[in-house]
Amino acid sequence: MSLRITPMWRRAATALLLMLGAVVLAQAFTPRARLAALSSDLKLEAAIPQAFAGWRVDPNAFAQVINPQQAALLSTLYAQTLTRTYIGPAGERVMLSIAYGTAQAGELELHRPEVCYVAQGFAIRAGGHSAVATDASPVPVQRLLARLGGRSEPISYWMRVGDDVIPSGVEQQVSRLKQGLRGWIPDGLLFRVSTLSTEPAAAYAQHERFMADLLQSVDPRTRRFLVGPVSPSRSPGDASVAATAP
Amino acid sequence: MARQSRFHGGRWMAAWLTPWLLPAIGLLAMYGPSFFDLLHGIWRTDEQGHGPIVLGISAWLLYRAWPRAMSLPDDRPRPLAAWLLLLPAAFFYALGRSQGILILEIGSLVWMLAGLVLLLRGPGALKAMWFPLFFMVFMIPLPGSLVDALTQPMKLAVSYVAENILYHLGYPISRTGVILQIGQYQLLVADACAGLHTLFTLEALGLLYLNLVRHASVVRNVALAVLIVPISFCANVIRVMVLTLITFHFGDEAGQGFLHGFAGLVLFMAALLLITGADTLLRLGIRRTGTA
Repeated sequence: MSLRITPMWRRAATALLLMLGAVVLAQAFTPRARLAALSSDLKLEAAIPQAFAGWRVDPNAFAQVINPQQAALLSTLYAQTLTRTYIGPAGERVMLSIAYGTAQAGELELHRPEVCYVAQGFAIRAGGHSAVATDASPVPVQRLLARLGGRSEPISYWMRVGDDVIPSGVEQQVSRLKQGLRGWIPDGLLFRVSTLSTEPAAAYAQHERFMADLLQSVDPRTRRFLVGPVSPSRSPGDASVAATAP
Repeated sequence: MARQSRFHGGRWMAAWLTPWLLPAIGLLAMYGPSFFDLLHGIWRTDEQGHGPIVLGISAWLLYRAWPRAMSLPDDRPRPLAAWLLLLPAAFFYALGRSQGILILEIGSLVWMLAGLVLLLRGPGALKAMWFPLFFMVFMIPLPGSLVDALTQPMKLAVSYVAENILYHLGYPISRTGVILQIGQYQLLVADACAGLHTLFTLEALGLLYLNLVRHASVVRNVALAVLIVPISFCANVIRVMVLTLITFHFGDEAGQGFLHGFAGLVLFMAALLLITGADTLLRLGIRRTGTA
């Protein structure tokens, strides 16, 4: 009697169908197109100008000392990083750091400065939000104040995940999910500017001037690489991007 | 009677096992690839190293609870409740698996199993299997942002306590955030050294211990489960202090080399001693109030 079609077997078979359905659904909605493929030829080192709008790279800036463990971690997390110190028109010094990762998923996600500064022993205080005006829509910027002993470092940053510049960690996840369900594996870019200063308000204003000047000075493709949008459907009118779309 | 003949007939085993073949195929299709990815991915990292162990223990606990759960005579399937578990589980699996959200993908396994047990056996069987199912929660990888948010204050607190104890013992130690400076050495208390994951692993170990010891007193069980949190904290402080002292007395290389693993062992030994110690004290306390 055990092998007759009992209600038990019917239920078991229905459950199997549901489970196989879930497997098919998961496969169907797994994003496979990498947004990063659209900008794989863009090299930050060349795309970000050495001098613009009165800012120029400080040739004497000390190369940042990074310990080997950290360098290994950085190279697994990011496809490209750029660290430079710029001197402004009035002699002010601004440190620029850009990190770019090709796939925003799980362990490879961009690390927000709130997290990585704290992990290095800094005490972090949120400094509120702001926005940098551009020709297109304004770019939302986060402000932080990092402290370690006597060192005070105001930080301004934005983070692009795929097409969107996102203000918070929660929106980082939501944005990744939205683009993932559209079939895209978003790339991620962290654009961070900081100065050593005990006057945060003045430093933040300086950062935003630097950001606005840089976004004005780079070519349209680099600007989209920095603040989005990058997917073909969201950045119309650029033949070079549309041509390489999968 | 049909039910009776099913259990006393020659094919009784096939009778209660065979309906499970179909869901077993389904489970394999769903979670086979998931666990394959985990074993080749984050389960190989230090922070998530407890994952495969918890999976193994869960499987063993399920195996142990299975015969009793399947032979309860008055158990009736509850299809409605079962589907209320199975449908969301399938949805969250599909979402989690496709979008790489492990907490949904692996988390759905617990609901899926609970739903299947309700569908094919009933609430009695689910009750008999509650601990193995609950134990699986410890292998679900948490989202990195949540772990970071909870780990940071713990790291700070562990560093603070370790610094103070060593300072009062007369060591030349100072602290900035989570960086300890002892003598000429600088130590960074890393995530793995004081993280949420050690707490998680220890809580899992403690609950397993409680489940295996099977003490009748609810007070003792709950008290011990709660005590594991401060015990894990103390064990972490001990580990950081041991590492700091190793570095101070034997140099940087010893602290980062094989003795780093040794300090990890110290953590678990200390935690185990503290847990059994606390358990003994609780037992004595309960016995005393019992006889008074």
